[in-house]
Amino acid sequence: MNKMIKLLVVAIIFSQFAIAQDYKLGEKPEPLESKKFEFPAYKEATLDNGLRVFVIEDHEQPMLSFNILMPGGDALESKKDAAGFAAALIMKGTKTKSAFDISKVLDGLGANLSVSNSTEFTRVSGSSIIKHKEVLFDMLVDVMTNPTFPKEELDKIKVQAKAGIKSEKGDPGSLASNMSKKALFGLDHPYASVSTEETVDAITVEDIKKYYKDFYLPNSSSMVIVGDFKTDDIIKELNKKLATWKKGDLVKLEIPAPKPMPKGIYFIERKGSVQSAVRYANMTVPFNDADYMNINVASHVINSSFAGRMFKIIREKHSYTYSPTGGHSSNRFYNYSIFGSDVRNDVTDSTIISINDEILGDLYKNGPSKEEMETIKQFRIGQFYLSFESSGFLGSLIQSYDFKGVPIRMIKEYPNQYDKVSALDVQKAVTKYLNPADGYVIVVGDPSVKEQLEKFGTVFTYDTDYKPATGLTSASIDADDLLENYTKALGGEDELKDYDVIQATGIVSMSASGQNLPGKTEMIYTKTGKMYRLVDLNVYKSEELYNGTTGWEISTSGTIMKEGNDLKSMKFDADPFKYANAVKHGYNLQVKGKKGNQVVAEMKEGDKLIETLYFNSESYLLEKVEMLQDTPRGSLLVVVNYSDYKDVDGMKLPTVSKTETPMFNMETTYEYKVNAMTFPDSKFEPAK
Amino acid sequence: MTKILSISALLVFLSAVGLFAQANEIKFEQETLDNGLVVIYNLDRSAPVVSTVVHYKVGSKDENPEKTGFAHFFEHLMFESTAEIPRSSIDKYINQAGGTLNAHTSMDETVYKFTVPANQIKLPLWIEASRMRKLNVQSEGVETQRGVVKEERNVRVDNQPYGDLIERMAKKLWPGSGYEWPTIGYHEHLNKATIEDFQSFYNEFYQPNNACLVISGDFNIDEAKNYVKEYFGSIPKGKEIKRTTQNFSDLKEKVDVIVEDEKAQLPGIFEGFRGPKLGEDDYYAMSLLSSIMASGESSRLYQSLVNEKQLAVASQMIPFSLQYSGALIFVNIPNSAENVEATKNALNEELSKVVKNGVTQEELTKAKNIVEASSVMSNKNTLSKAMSIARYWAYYGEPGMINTEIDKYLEVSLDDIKRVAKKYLDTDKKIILTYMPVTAEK
Repeated sequence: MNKMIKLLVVAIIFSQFAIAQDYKLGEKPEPLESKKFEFPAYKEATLDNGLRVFVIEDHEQPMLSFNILMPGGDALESKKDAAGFAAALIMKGTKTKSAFDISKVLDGLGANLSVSNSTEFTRVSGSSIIKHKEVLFDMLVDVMTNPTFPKEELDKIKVQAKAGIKSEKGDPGSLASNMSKKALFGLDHPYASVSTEETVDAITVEDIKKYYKDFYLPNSSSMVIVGDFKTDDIIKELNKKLATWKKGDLVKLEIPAPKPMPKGIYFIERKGSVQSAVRYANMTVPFNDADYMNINVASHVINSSFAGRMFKIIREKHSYTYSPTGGHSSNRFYNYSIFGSDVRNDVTDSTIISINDEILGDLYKNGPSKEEMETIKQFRIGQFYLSFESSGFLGSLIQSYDFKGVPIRMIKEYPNQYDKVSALDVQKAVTKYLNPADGYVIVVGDPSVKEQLEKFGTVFTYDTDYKPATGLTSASIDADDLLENYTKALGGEDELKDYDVIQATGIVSMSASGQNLPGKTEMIYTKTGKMYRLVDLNVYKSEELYNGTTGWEISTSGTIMKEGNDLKSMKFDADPFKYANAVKHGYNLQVKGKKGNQVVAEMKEGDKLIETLYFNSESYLLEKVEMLQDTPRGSLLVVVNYSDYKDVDGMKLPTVSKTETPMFNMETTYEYKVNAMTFPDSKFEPAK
Repeated sequence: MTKILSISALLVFLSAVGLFAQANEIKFEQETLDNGLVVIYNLDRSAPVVSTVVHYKVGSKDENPEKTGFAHFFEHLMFESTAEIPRSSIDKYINQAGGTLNAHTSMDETVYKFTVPANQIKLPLWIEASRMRKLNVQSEGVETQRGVVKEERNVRVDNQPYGDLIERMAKKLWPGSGYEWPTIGYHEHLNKATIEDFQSFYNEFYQPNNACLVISGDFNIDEAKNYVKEYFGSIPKGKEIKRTTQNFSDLKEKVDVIVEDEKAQLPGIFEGFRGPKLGEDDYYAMSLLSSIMASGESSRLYQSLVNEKQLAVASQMIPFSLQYSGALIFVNIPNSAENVEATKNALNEELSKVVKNGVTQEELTKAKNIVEASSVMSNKNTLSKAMSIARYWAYYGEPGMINTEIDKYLEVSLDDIKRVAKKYLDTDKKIILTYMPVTAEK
């Protein structure tokens, strides 16, 4: 072998070594022997002013931090925004210091003291290097006991608050989360209400002082303090320093019941969005409910960082999203699950289908897999232990359990309790609490996305002020003229009185959950105001009777005599021309505007919306009626469309009606007869 | 007046007595393997936890300008599969071990992070070793992550108010350099990227001699060294990386652009100046100046623009220092569209003031106190310590700076502050981006 060839061979061998990266690693390593978890020590004490203090020593760095939790918050304020503004204004001046003085002292030490408000409480947080603790405590006491709530500072904060309100409207995540809470609790419930320019304008210094007097009280509050000190010394020091923060009379914690909005899809139009923020919202249970933990685990199976189904399916399988978001709240009184993801516009519907089928539907049918349960448990329990690296974690847990009335020793039980939740518990929790049919889907996105949503049910469209987006233009007609035109279109006032009996018979086709049920219907109206109405779907039959004063409903489940509002609405229904006569029945009509070729009017009783009516803007015939109906599954939107009006004895009557609800659809075709038969009074009363 | 005097007096007293109590020292041990991998061990037995950080010296500045977004895309691919690890398993392994994981990419660095219970120390080391040179760069993973990264771009840039700010700013601040394009990359480049592109990027930058591994937490140091040797020791050394020299010509003109933003509800004014790079002397003076200008409610910008003149809801100065250059970005959010001009004027006024008069001793002391407090409070958990140590290694070649950098801040004088204010802010060669909301009715 000559020298060149030798070199070549060496070069080849060398280059192979250089390329080959096959270093040996072996199998996934086993863990070492696990270290025993030691629950960190803490001490509880009550100061002379009633403040309960939890003390945790942490000597890693020369610093300290504390949190004071004062029950109250948005949930308990007597005027919207009072709690929030009290928190914002309390640092803006004391009897001896201006806002600038306060910030200068704190900034000058690199210390932090801040007050923030949330749904169920107000929190005061402070931290500093240990050597500055006296200055920090002095400032805390001054702020808590001598605030002046200066009007000129309030005015400045108001300007900023209004700008903040505006800027929040640009954030799809905030819009989606706020709308979710509004759907769950009702538009103005304290857990869901959002500050507006009006609420900000309405707040006065007196409102803020009242909130301060009622809720900034040591004897309702707790403090957690963590740092590089000796427990007994710090308790003594706090007792002395905080002595001037005095006890007060406690306000009872009472929160109004939620008033959930009609079930369906809530869509907020945000022009120019390149992604849709999709959220699923369901109401769950209070923190101390036995099911709370099961729902928590279910919520982790659905959306727990990398281990949850949202990440695995929506991100890693379909690439619809970058980052799923949300989870189960941990409030004291009312909790909810809100989760979802921001996805590109064209897969908004695919995302909903995937969450319905691959995530919730599958969990409902099959429950989580064994491996899924194991991963989630190992992850969550592991996280729990890891979090103790920060002594602040224990502090916040203690305070949170204490506030929610759960014994603090239960913190130690958490891993055990979490581990006990079974796959079946998760399946049950999904079925009972996270079923989309019992909750809401919220989407914030470009208006073009709306049509993708319609296949999933009723879509309620809102604007970024959380007001229904009507899409109405001016109708240039008032209610009186509208009713007059409608009456004329039906044949005129005289014709509508010119009958003794109107009889309608119809063929019904009802579809629900993919099944069709055929049936028949019959309606009889007399000039004397009596009514008979039958719907017979073979498997289900219902008769409504009204004799002019009393009404009944007879169905497979028995006979019910109608009372109150039900009776009133039956009397209204007994009038075949009820909308033309709405005013006579005690309702008032307001024209809201024009939508396409329909004039939209609201029929109200006092201020209460009863039904929304859509009239054709040329023929003035009634084309659509929308109403909300209370059901055991919450409030549902019912839409009835009328069409194919025919002339019957000088009266125009619709021969087709289509009813749409989130649960079922029903189409009916009618034939009418006028004065063809007479009916005895017994037809309008139940058989004796 | 007496009140303010007494506070000033207190601050002067504190600085005069030299009470800058240092944070407790962070101890560590460093070794370099034969293949060039630097390994740093930091013991912290305050909790049974271990964090690992692998810091690769590769960021978007190292990319081919025709193929942007690779560094960040790679961060995603590194969670796919390796010779030892099947797809979608890294997160599963770590989660099942009760740990957490994450990663980030910037213009200069790509960093991978794990935190696990102390007895699981081997797992993150094994994963990091496997994906350092044995990543499967194959189509299934690439296609999945391509979709995810594009959605990430949508979330972070295209669907946010002022979302393309950094992109626009960087293009004007550092034209012709690797800092010119956004780390997340452009859609068209993400679409075009091929498997071969990814492979060659991987082979160039993911090498032991381009990385540093930091292990922080509760472990036995001799055992840890053995694990490191076992997993990383036989990885061959990579070729020397030929990096493009970064050139920064001076800004030639003032750029003043109005951007119409459909997603913004309030206007946003962003003024960018060139600033010092990481670690140079000016950097420390400039950081303190930023704190004086914008840290806390007693800061100059807050007092003037937010409190007294009530023009803006926020007024910030952000020092944005990179390995080879830097920027100072002033962020102002006026409280209404009417106040845009007045906000710009008020900012200019504050800048002129500080250029002309510098700052007071009281302000400088305050800024130093803030740095001191934050250095004490930030070195609390294992992950943040590990990340800091890695960063000091990457940019200064000296991990021990985690303990000593505070001295650099404390040495800054009033003259230094005045000098950097003049040097960087006394110019009209700046980038002004004014984002104006577009009303929906338009």
